[in-house]
Order: sequence, then structure tokens, then C-alpha cells
Amino acid sequence: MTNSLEATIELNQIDPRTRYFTALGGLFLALLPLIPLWVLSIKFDWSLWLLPIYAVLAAGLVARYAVAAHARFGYALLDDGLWLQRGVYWRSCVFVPRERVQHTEVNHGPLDRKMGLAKLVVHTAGLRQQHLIIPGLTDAQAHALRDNLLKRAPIHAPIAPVNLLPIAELNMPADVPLEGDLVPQADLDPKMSVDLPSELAPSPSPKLAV
Amino acid sequence: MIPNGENQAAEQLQVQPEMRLAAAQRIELTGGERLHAFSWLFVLVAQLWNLIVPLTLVLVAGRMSKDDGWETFFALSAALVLSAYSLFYTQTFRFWMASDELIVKEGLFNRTLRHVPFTRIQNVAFRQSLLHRLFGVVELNLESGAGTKPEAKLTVLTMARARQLEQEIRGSLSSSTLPEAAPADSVAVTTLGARLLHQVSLFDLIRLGLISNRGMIAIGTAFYFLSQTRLLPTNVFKDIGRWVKTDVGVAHGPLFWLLSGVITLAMIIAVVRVASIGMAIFLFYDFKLFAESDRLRVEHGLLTRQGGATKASRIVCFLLRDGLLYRWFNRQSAEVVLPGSLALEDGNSGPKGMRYLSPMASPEQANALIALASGVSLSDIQLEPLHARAWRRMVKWPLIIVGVQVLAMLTFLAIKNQWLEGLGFVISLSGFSGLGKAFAHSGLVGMVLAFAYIAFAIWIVYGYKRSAAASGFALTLTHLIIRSGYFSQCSHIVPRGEIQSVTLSQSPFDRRSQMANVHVDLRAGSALETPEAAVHYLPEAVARDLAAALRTGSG
Repeated sequence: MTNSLEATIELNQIDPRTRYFTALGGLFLALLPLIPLWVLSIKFDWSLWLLPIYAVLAAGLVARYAVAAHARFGYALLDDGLWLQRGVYWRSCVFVPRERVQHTEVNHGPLDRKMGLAKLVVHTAGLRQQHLIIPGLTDAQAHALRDNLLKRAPIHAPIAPVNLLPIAELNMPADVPLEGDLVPQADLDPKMSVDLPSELAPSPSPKLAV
Repeated sequence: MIPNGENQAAEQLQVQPEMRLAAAQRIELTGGERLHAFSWLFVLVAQLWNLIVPLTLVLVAGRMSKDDGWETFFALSAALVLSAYSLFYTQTFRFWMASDELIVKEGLFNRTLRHVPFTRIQNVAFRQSLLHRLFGVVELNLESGAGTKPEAKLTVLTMARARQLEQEIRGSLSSSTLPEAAPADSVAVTTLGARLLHQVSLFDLIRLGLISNRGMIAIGTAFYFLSQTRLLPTNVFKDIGRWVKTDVGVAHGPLFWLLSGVITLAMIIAVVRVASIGMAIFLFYDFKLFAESDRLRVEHGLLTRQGGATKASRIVCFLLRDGLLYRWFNRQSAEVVLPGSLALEDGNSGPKGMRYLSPMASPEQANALIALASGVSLSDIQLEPLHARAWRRMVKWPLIIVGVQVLAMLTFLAIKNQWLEGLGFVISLSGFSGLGKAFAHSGLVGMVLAFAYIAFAIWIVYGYKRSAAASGFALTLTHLIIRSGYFSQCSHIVPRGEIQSVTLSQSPFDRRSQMANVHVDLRAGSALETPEAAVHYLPEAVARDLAAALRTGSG
């Protein structure tokens, strides 16, 4: 993505058919003013041509928005967590560390089922950003992403005081694919487990001098 | 993460069925310990307190209407049902202390047996009202970091038993076999041993009352009740008018309205201040902060003593509040946000736990307390500034919005071509017909409006310039520090290990001026009371670097 806030991360795109979902929701909102417009047209004897003109303009804008929303949406599964980018006008990038993922859900709405798509919902224990939604995944992709995301350091291992060290120095088992490994997602088997040798150090992350 | 790791371990402990079985067999669930004999009274009081508004209304309505008094009957039967419930609830309540967990059996129709491993208990909160003190008992809440309810609520125990219980729970915490990595910041606390760290004087509580607006809620509630009972002293305002007319001798014109207005406003402010001072003393009288081994404990309150304890390493975020009034008094307030404090919003009947290191301390004391509990010495920290043009962004929209309103008003008057009567009309619309007339007769309205806007503009530019200059962030190896505002200032000190997610965001306006914002999400707090930990109006590159650095540090 050229317009990404974080240019160094390679993002995965979601299914282009999510544009229809966005457009559907947008159209509903955009066409609501037709009702008062219709009432006003009758009351003040305005030309009824206003209605279709408004509808076409609104639909055009919604379509543009839906395309842009899809183009702007991207996610990446990194060695240390999940990275999500979204928003057309108000843009944001969210990063959730792997350890902070509380639980995940794979959802299928009625439209999703019709198109064979799934949503992955990632819950955190946060106060304001309690869940992140990645729509437009295939079922296999959603499950693979979930399995991958839930892989973490073994629970019984002694837990080091992470907040005292930058992550690159932590002896974290790297049993998760490094960033970029997930790009050919269609090939991923949901049950496949990725077992990399635990000596493999995670890729060095960008650091800010403090 | 340390707390998270323990959580996982604790969850692990909880979900293993064979362990639960073992615990159940170990202590034969037939006996069990009961609550204090008078517990039903306290459960009843809590229930009645929750229903106080509807019950009062019903009773008042019963008194107003001269019916056969079905309302009174209704209220009495409701009270009777509640008493019966309280009695049954407390009589059937049992708990057992195992070696590593607390087992609670409760419920009337829906009986539950709950196992609460000691390791899962993160905060212990207590409350002791005047009634509790009369009986020598205390209400105990055992909270975990998550969920919407306390893990166990013991209403009520004798003081001695509660202390013993807490010690058993803590003893288990310190001798736990679970990994208990002590972060460096708690070392400062451990070396101190148990001692009184801080105490708030009565004089400081008066200052707190002058700063805080807690009295507003009390006054508002009182007003609401008075309006329901038709006892509202509406005559007070008339009396003020009469007094200005007869004693001051100003009967007409803008001066009359100005005087009456100023007196009324001063009176309202005085009443709210007095109520706020009263609330501050009621809530925080004899505020004490103790350090015991690695824990911090507070207690406070005039009639109702309440407080809580927590491990210093459990604190999710520190908030240091400062502002114009704080500066005048040379004071600051140091708050803590604990995991699970979100849960305690819903019911106001339970203890709230630990919320303050000190509600009112000198800046040196506040900094020292935060340094002690977090390991961050704020006075040594150099903040990274916001974007140089940040203040312009802050100023822009308030100026435009108010400017448009002023312009609209002036245009409206100009169109009416009767400037002064026009404004008089606007004011009479808002209900002050006399005031409207008064203004229509005076000769300065348009000018006043324009000058008021200029004054507002100067004030707001000055304020936001100060605010932008005072705001900023700093990143240490362990903590993220965010400071924002000037007239009302809040500093967040967030342990990086507590960050749940990092968001880098940019609005269209941000993009145009090449700025961006960074937010971090925390594990707890209340969405209403805890200000968002966010840095706005950063230069884009700085924001990007900050987000990247937080990413590496919070994983």
C-alpha cells in the first residue's frame, strides 16, 4: 500500500467482495434522505427529477467509498502480533501484541455464508479497542489466521518481565511464521501446524531511540 | 507479561476439573463457615439502597395522593420481600478456606459453588459504614482482574476474621509455586516494609473540595428530590430580586439584572463549593496510604471507612492530575487504575477498592509516590513536544464554531434592522423577558457581542498555546508517559507491559497538516472516568516511530 501509515509492513488484502457489503450498508444510509426529499418535493412542488439525480449521485459516492474502503483495509500477521489498517477518511492502524489476544471468533453472517466468506473477530482485554474484525476471509484463511494468532509461549514456562526488555532480546520461541509468510494464504491448511525450530530468533523489529 | 502470565496460570488452575474435585474432597463441603450473624441486615440495607429512588417516590406519591394508601402497602411489602431474601441469602451462604483457594456457596434458587484460587485475587477492597462499625464488622470484596463482578463478596465478616482471611490469601500469594516474576519497580516498595507513606490533612481536603465538583452531583440529586416533593425553594430567586430592589435600591434596567444574576450565580457557586467540600471530607477524611511488603493499601472516609489494597506491579496506569486550581494551591492528585476497576462501576453498594495514591498532595509528594509505585521519576523526564503547529489545530474549530454563531446572531439583528430590540427578542425567547427588555434599552449590545468574541479568541489562543506547549510524551524502557492539557492537566504513566493495543490514527485534517495521533488501550479503568491515553497532534514521523517503538515494547 502506498498510502499506508506504516510503509514497512507488507499487508494482506481481504476478499474484494466485501465491497458489496460496504456498499449495501452505505446505500441504506445514503438513500434514507430520499424520504424527506420526496415529502418536500411534493409539498413545495419541486421537480421529481431531483430524486433520481440524488439517488444516482449518492450511489456513485457510495460505490467510490466502498472501493476505497476495500483498498485501504489490510492486515498482517507479524511475528509479534496482529497489524490492522483501515479507514478511508479517518485512517488508523492498530497493533495487537500476540500475548494480548484474549480469544478469537470466526463469524459467518448470512451474506458471508452465501459468498463463502468468514469474519475473524479478535478480542482483547482493552477498554476502548475491545475487538478487531477482519472481514472477507475464506473459512480456511480465518481458521489458519486464528490458529496462528493463538500460538504463544508455553503457558507453564516461567514468564520473564517483558516490560523491562525490548522484545528482540526476549527468548521467545519463534514457532510462528515470520511476517510475509502468510501471503499465499489460499494454500494454508487450517489444521497445518507450523513448527519452526525454537532457536530461530524473531526478526529484528524497528526500534526507536529513547 | 507478568500479570497476564499469572492470569493464564490461574485460569489453568481453575479449568482443571480434577483439581477442583481434589479441593472439594479435601475439605468436605458439608460444613463451611457462615457469615456474621447480622449479615442479613447489611444485605438488606444494600438492597434497599439500590431501590431508594423508586421506594421514596412511591412513598412520597402515597403521601401526596389521599388514597387508601396502596403505595405505602406496596413499599412495605417490597421491603418485606427484600428482608426475607436477605435473611435466606445470608443464612444459606457458606465459605471454606482451602490451602490455595476460597470456595463459596451462595444462592437461593440458583445455587452456585465457586472456587476462587488465591492467585486469581488481585485486589482486596473493604468497606465499613457507620452501621458496620457499630457491629464491628466489615464488607470484603475479592476482585480478579477481569469479569464484571467481584470474584467473591463477603457481606459481612468480623474485622478480626476479615484480617485473618486477607492474610491467608496474601500468604498464599507470596509462597505461591507459580512463576512470580517481580518487576524491578516493586523493589522500591519492598525495601520499605510496612509503613505509612502518606496522609491527607483536613486543610487539603478543603482544597480538594474547592477544586473538585463532587458536590454538583449531591446538589443535583437534592434538587431532583426536592422537585419531586414540591418543596423546591423557587422563592429564593424572587427573594434575591426583592433584596436587590429594596435594599440595594436598583429596581430596573440592566444593572438590576446584572446584580441579580451575579448574586444568584455566586450563591449557586457557593452552595456547590460547600457541598463539594462536604463530599471531599466525607469521602477522604483521614486518607492514609500504607506500603506493606510489595503492596499498597489505602483507607479513607469519615462515616464510611473504605479502601483497598493492591500489588504495586498490578497497577495498569497512574494518573497525575494538575490544573489551574491545583497550581494555585500547589497541589496535585495521584490516581491509580487497577485491573477490574471497570467492573465496580455498576453497583454503588460495594467497596470500590483502591483508586488514589493521594487525592491531594504537594507536587513533590505526588511525584515521590508515583516514583515509588512505578519507578518513574517524573521530574527527570523530558517530554517530546507536539507538532509546532498543534495549537493552531486546537484553536481552529472552537473559533470557527463560536464565530459562526456570533455572526449569525449579528446578521439576524442586522436583518431585523433593529439591533438592540433584536437581541432583546433573542434573550426573551430564552425565558428572560425582563432581561430582554433591559438589553433592548441599553445601547451596547452589538459592541459587547463583538468584544466578547475577541476576548474569547484571545483567551482560547492563549489557553491552547499553553496547552500545546505543556503536552507531550516520553518513552522509557518500562513506561509510556503522556501529558496533556494545561488548565486541566492529566499525565498518564503507563507500564508498557500493560498496553493492550497500539493505534496510530490520522484524520483528514491531520493528513493535511502532516500530523498523526497515537492511542494506547489499557486493560481497565472506566470509559467515563479514565481519560484516554492518547497523544494527539504529533508530527507524522514521530507518531510512526512512537507506534513502532510501543509495538516492540508491549509485546
